Amino acid sequence: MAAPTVRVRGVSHAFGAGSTAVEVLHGIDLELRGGEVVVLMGPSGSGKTTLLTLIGCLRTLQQGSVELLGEELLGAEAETLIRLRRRLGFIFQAHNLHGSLTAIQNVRMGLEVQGPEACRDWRARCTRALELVGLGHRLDFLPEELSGGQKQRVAVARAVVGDPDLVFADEPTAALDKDSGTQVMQLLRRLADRRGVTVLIVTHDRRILPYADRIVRLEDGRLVGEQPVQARALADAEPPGTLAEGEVER
Amino acid sequence: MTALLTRLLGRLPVGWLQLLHNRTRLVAAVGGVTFANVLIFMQLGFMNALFETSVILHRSFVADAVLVSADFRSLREANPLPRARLYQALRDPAVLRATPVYLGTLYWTDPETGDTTNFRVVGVDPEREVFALPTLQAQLGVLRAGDSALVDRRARDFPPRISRALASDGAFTIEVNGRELTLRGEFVHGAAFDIDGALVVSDQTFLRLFPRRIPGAPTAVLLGLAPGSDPAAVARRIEAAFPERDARAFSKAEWVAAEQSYQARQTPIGFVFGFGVAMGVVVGLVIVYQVLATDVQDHLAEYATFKAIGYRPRYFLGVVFEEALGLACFGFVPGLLLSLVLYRVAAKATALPISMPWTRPVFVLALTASMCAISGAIATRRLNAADPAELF
Repeated sequence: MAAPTVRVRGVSHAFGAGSTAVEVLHGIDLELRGGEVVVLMGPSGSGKTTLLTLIGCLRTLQQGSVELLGEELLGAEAETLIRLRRRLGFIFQAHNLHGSLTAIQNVRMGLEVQGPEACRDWRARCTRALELVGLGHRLDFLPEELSGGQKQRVAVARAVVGDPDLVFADEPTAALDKDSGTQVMQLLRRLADRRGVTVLIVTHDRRILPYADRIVRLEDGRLVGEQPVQARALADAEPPGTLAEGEVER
Repeated sequence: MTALLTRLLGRLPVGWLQLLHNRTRLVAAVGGVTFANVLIFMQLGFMNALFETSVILHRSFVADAVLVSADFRSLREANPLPRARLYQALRDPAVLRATPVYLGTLYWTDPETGDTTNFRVVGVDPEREVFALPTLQAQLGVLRAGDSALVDRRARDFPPRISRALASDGAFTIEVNGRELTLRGEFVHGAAFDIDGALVVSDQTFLRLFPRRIPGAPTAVLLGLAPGSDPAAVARRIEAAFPERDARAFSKAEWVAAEQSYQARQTPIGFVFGFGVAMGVVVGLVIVYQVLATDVQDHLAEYATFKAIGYRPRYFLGVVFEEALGLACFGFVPGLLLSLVLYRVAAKATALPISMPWTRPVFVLALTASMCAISGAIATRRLNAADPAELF
């Protein structure tokens, strides 16, 4: 079994301060391993997104311990957080594409953050990432010229173009139709299987469940149960390879 | 352009693309910067005209050094000095020539239009070399006839009929201070803020026009020095030889500087224009800040995403600086062109020499760029402090 990439110990989190503080997470313990796709489910307001943003270095940790890729996040320096963020891929609920940049330029932003070295053959890498999400024909379109689902898929391409060690996704399929949703989930599944990427997905969408290894349920800020998935849908029987070698949906 | 900037910056020119994307905002922002630029240019133009016109006369004299009364602040209100100082100065081996000049102000009302012109009257010995303007110096001979004068063609609202009469008859008679004065020629001098134009007469005529002035007390004495002598050092030496401390000696450059410094520091007008420049900068700062802050606000979700995937605060500062510099340049070009047009209009309306030295656009562009950069730095402050999750 692969080594844990994320180790969460006794994490609690509160919003607000003093007597009006509301605690939304209580003593969470969780481990994620490389090559695993974990789905975090639970009713609205149960603290799913808060947990995701804490693990993903998007929110300052208040209490407990999160070890991400071997580094402690509690009280971490800004530089450490920046270095870690660059090894993560984020897919947000809202696509958050930059409206003034074309699809391929938006994807490039995910590469540029890795430094000039990564940008050397950026056009080829970005094109490949967009082809992987089925947008090879929309490279130079501005977000306003794309449909909601297409925008979300550009965001997915931006998240995976930099070969991340972990991918965090908050409702990645909410804006997608069935086919694009399947396409995105197959892509994430393949990243886990072939590159050992850890994928953590927050979702309400039950269609995702067949792609997961584990489902973690959160209620009122507490983990209430964990279950392995029995009938896992396999990513298509394609020959193994890396993303960089170009797995293109045709 | 985008490809060029990408190469130059080593990253996508996000600020540039952002600036071009929202055209309406771009036009409004550029308009604001243009406006601020015009404001600054006009104030600088007027301020510079003030400094330049206040020393036109000083510069037109042939002199290496000058003597003036000890309380000298400005030629306009200069008091006379004893003529004896002229002879004392001549005792210095470096002083070759000493020429007295008499200055006064008088009003002439044009009987045809009722307009009043205030002339600075310069009384000189027509036999001496006084003016560096060759056309003016060449005409001094006609002043040997009493009650004659040369008139400034660039005087404010100068009646063209005088020019025509001078061209056809060579003479035109006006009445000033109860005397008849015959204009016998023209020269080019120009108006100042407080003077409409100049009138050159002989020292004899001057004393008749200003009966209370005495020949023993000129307003200034122009000194011609031996070649190779240091005017400032000679001025110090001469001054030290005046026991009564009723006169001062300046090199010509010091004299000009003293007049300009008086105009800049002591007169309200210098302060007013300096204040106007400051106001232009503040207006520009507010406009650019408003534009950039709104822009940052509108792109907060995108910036937060960039921050979430590992971009540093420095990166956003770079993006906003890029926008700020873009705005500065876009606003500068129309601002400069518009100002050049307005300079012409203003110069025509005021008879003041309002011109654009090449250093001024450089100064204003640098000022605009730093003003835009400061606004940009303020606009990104909120972004730097927050957790990415709080910005979505």
